Amino acid sequence: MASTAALSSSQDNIVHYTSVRMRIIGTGQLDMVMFSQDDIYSSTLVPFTMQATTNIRPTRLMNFQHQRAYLKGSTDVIGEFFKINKIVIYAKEVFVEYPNLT
Amino acid sequence: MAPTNTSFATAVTIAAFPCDITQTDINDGGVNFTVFYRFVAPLSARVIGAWGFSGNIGSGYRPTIFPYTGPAGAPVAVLGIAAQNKPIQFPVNPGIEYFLEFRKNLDNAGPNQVRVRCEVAPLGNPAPGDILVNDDTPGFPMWIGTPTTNNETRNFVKDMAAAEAGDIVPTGRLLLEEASDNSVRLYETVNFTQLFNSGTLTGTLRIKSNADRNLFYVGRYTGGQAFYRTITPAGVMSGEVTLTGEDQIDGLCANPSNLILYMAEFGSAGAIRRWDIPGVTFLSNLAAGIANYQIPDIQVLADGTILALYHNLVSQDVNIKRYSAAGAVLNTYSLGVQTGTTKPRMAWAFDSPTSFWAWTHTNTGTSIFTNIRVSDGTVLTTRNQQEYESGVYNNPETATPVTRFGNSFSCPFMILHIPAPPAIFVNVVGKKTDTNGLIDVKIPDPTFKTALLP
Repeated sequence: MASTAALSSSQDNIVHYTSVRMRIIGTGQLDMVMFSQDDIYSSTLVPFTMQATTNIRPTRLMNFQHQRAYLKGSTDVIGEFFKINKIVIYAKEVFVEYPNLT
Repeated sequence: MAPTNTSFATAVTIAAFPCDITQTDINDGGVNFTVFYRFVAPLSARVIGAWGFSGNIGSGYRPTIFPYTGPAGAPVAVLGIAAQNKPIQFPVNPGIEYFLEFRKNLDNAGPNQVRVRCEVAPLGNPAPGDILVNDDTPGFPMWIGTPTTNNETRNFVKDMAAAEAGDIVPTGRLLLEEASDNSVRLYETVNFTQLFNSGTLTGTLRIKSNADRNLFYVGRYTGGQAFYRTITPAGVMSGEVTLTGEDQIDGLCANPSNLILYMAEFGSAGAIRRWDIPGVTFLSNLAAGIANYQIPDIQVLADGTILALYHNLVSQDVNIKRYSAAGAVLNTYSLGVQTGTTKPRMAWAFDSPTSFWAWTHTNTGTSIFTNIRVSDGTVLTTRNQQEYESGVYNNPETATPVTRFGNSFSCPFMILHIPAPPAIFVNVVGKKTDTNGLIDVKIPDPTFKTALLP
């Protein structure tokens, strides 16, 4: 899987966000949603089921293609908690601009 | 010219603390006037010290100070406190209006003046090893003093049980007697919240933790019979055991593993008796009574040796004897003759069983706290503190009081075992109670958001 660490927003190219991997422990489920800039588009991911201890750093696939995006994670049940030490979002530049429709 | 602040409605406002105001128009034409001041308790205040001093000692114009809660139209006296020419201390609620009346004692030629001084009690962070003295009168706050500096008050805690019995265990749980309803109440010293209330236990109560420091023993006597029960630091109260053959109980403490309860017979020349806890019967005495000596406190150390505090009711001599489990005297720690007549006390040290603390009294209202090493009797610390009994400076009137805050003179004392954050003392005016009661309610969804990518 390609690393996207070197991606830069300076060109505002269109990026395909492909997956997220976390170093996470907790209890309950971590709900995750990807949002495009200004929350115009969103994509709800399959939640992570968290464990108090684990040797797995889980990965969740996604198919989200926009210029800019961010990930929101949350819990929504009493007693759930999460502790995240690291988040890696995998992405790849795919286009430099949108198709000209005029 | 006569003063104008001669009623609650015309009271002079104390705008800031500390204050030092000298009013010189007390006397007009041979008539002295009672004068009034008011203030709104600062948001940080738990206890206020106030003092109206005329400059005369023993005779002449010497006003008596009375504190009240407001409003001016319906003042209510605070805890019945009154002191002529002497400092007082009293608990306050932040943001509430209070009044001080300086009531004249006579008319004379004058001129006369009253110097009004007020200050907020210290608000230091309680620390392990601090000395706790809960009051013996309901309504008065528990005093916290530093362990080594004379006359240094650390802070006060309001709304604590007040009476003559109490003890603490190393986890910080505190069990105190409450005189208003003869109950015992368990507190958490992290925040001094009440965890348990026994309800009324009729009779005279004694409280001491066991040698293992993980169980409170509550002695009780009434109607010619002595009893005991236990209360865990979690607040679980046992059934009561009848100490058959004993009518009263004073000092008490259970040995390691709770096999023997050592207890002193009440009053002069009381023996130290041994109660077989599992066998539910008295064994032979550990030590015979000593003429004129009472034994207000017993502490059994982790090695099974027994410290017994002896107080001579005639000479006021105070000493502590350390007994082996077989009854042999291993050490005698002499504290000498106290000049006061108030019952001395003993408390677990922070480093128990290496050392222990004792509390004796002078006839000038001074508490003497002494930390003594068990092994050789070396006095590790001697710490003096001016007493304030029923909120009043417990010493003759003077132009130079020793300190403006102090402890009650007759109550248990304890050494604080864990720190307590200062925020716990704040009384929030207009506090809102969670309408959900005891139902668990989650906070809004805990959420994180990454920055915009890439």
